[in-house]
Amino acid sequence: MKKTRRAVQFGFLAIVVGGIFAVGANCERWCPFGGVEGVYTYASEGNMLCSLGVSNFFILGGVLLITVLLRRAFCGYMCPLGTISEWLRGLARRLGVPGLRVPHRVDRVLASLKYAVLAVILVATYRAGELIFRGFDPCYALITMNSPQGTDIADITVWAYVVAGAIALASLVMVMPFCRWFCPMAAVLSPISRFALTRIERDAEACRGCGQCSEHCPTAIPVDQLQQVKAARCLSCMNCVDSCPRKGKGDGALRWRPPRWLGPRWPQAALIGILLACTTAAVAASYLFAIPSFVKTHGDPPAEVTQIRLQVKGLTCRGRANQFFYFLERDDLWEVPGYFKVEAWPGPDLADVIVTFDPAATDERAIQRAITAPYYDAAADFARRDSPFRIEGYDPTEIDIDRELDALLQLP
Amino acid sequence: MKPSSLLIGLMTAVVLICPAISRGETAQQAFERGDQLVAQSDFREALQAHAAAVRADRSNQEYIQRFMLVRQIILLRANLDQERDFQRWYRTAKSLRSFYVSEGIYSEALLVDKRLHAKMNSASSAAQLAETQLAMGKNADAAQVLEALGPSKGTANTQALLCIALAKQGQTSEAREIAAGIAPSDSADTGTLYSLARMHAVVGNHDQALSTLTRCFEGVPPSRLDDFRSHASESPEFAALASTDGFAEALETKSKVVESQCSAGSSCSGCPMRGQCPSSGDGR
Repeated sequence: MKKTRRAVQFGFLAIVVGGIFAVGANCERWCPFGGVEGVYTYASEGNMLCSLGVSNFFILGGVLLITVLLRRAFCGYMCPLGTISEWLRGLARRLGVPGLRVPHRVDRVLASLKYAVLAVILVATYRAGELIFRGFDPCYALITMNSPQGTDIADITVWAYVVAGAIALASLVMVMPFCRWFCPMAAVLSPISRFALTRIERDAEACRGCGQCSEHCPTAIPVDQLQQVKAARCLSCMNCVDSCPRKGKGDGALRWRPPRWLGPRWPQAALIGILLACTTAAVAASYLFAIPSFVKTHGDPPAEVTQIRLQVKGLTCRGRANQFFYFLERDDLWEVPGYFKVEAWPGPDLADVIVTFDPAATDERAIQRAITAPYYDAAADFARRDSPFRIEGYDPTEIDIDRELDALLQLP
Repeated sequence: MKPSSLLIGLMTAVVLICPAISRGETAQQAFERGDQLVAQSDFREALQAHAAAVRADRSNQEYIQRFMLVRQIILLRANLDQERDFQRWYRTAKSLRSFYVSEGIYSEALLVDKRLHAKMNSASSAAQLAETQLAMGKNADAAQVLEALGPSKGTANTQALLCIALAKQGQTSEAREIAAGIAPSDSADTGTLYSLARMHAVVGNHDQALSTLTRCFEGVPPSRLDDFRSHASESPEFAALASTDGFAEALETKSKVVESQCSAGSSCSGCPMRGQCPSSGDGR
């Protein structure tokens, strides 16, 4: 199982790293914690924070389902930070760096810190309406390659690297310190993990009490003293099962199993199967149900509407989506009259946008022009706002200025 | 690929490229020519030049925005003469003025300011007109506009501008007399404070000029501070102070206004920083 777990960890790490560096994907949209941070704003406004997408909810759903079934297997198999942290300790051990054992009481106190971290992040994020902690987040620094959405503006603070360095250093002498004590996602998963369906069961009669299982547990669960491992911090890593000297002898002293009403035991391959099935289902769902992460409406819908699908450069986040809407709401010569609705999927490259409008009041060219033309803002003493948006396939120079003037002069 | 398709493709490319080749212009050169034509108020020709710049480099957002802007200005100019709705006319006039002033086309700005002042006849319209006249060196005209307001309509800002206009005409004692009578209120806006700083500078109250300039800069939002600094550095009113340490120090004044780096959620569209929110860089 150890090799299988390493392979799964490597696979997920490769997908994340490959997605960032080879494909240039917006990995921020695939972070389950993004779903936690975005849920309040989405519920209250129907919009996702910054460049998060509804895909964050699908991934969060998948991770929660994994946790209901397999405890914190997400941390033990899928999370890149957990993998790197665990591998760093493994490397240090091979190099002869001695481990640091934290007393059980101290461990319990430190473990409660992650709830405080979660509370601070959620309250601050909900109040600010943006991901204000991402500048301190080493994962964000990694997934944006230090430059959000491929721009030269870095909102990463030096603290992101201080945090990353501290995690790396601590990981050399302790197993997964960040995951155990500070990770806000772990704080979300732990209460669910406590009531998860599967568990490690110890056969007290078969157990010799050698303590190898507890010795090998990355989260310091005293497995050899428990009948069943129901600890929230269990990663379902199977290190305890693998380290048991009774493994392979009869039924062994430790077994990974579902609750009794789901059968006497499951093969450990079922764990990998559940992990992959939940992840695949979450990713597939986010493509099958492509729900926009930004929706905003102007005016009352008429009886008949029509839609224009646009691919827009520069629509990178919720702020930009609001700005996009702001350009459509302009009240100058290039005003878009009547009803319109914007459904957008902000992203680092070309963002998909659907604009629904009243064909009796306006047309596609007027909408494209309103989005891309500068605007003098009466609310800011007529300061000029240049549009940061470019619409794929729209050529603004394809105009006849005389016809535009004629049209203008014919207006009532 | 069929030879006929290739031929059509080549011919299309030649048709598109020829005008630029015949002119021997790069996108940047066309862009610069367009800006020169804008400065000469030849907007129709400028539009053609900016269109050429866009066609030569379609990925350049600055070129696209400039083209769209000039196109808009042509329409706004036409609209100014025919708009009957006052609110719409006012918006058109203010937008045009904003453009002319930012481009340094004061002769055109003056025409708009005169029309605005004729319709509004307020302290702010007078101050706006006087600012343009001062920028054009028409100091006597500026003084006349501001004096015509009378004491009932005058504000600290118009008084400060009047003082500047008089001082620039050599009427120093009158200017000093006015300056001595103006004390900025605690709630004075940054525009008024800036005028007062300029006023103190032209009448020789250098310490007061620097302290007022510092107070002004403290109240300017960070996103607009560079514009103020740049204006102050080039302003003829501060010329006598420009080489002093105190002026350099005043220019370094930090804003005390708290302004989010992000649009902070649902109110993004109203945020003055929205063009600079993370992941942008080109919007304003």
